Amino acid sequence: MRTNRIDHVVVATPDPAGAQATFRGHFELPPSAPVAGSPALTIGDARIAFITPAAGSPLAAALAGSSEGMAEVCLEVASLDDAEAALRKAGIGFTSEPKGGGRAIAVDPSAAHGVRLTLVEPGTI
Amino acid sequence: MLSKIHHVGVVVRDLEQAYGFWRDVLGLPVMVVKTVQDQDVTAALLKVGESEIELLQPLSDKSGIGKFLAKRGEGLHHLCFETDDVDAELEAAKAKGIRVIDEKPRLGLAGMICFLHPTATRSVLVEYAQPLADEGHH
Repeated sequence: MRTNRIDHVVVATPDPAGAQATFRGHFELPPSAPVAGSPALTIGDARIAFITPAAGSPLAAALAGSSEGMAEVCLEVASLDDAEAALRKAGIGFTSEPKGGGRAIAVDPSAAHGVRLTLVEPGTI
Repeated sequence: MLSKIHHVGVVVRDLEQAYGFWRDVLGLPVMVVKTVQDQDVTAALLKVGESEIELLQPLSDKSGIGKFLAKRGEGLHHLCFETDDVDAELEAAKAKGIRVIDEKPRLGLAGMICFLHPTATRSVLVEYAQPLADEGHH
């Protein structure tokens, strides 16, 4: 699998606009285009997205009972087909889910050491 | 000025086992592995684009990372931003009234580092890092 970069990190929060304002004020980061419809900031070649998890969603589960916090890392890979093949070969579970008009692979968190890890192709989100 | 995500910190139970996924499946090369004795942790930095994933294995259950692992299990731990002047960045944070953990920068795996308090940053543990001049891979 060829992994290019961190596409974005998700801060799960019930108040995306407020959290974006907090991070913008503290760290003086410029806004980016929304990530999957949620507010985001730019840092280098990556983004920080502020997303309200739906009840019962994997993102909510990743918060482990907290109301806010860093809950997901999304990596850009060269090819989702290659990523799927590599995960299958390693016996690692994953789901394919829609994201930002394209699709993403969500890796089984138990294989990713408790991390909710998603993989996208360039330009997906 | 914060220039990029330096790394995302992930607590793992066992580094060697963790390499099986992060290095071997995702294809992220291991750039450096170090033990920080005063924090009872061994950490590895794996390159991903211009950033890194930092895998943290506690060496005792009494360390901060060890307590995190015991309480919450493996998972995301902190988000580190790179700066070319960690002293100025920390002073700027304090001037804004941002609560901090480290009053002064200290030497860490990623260079001179400091942590802000997560109560100031939406429960996200944020680190600033100024890589040392001889660490070319950063």
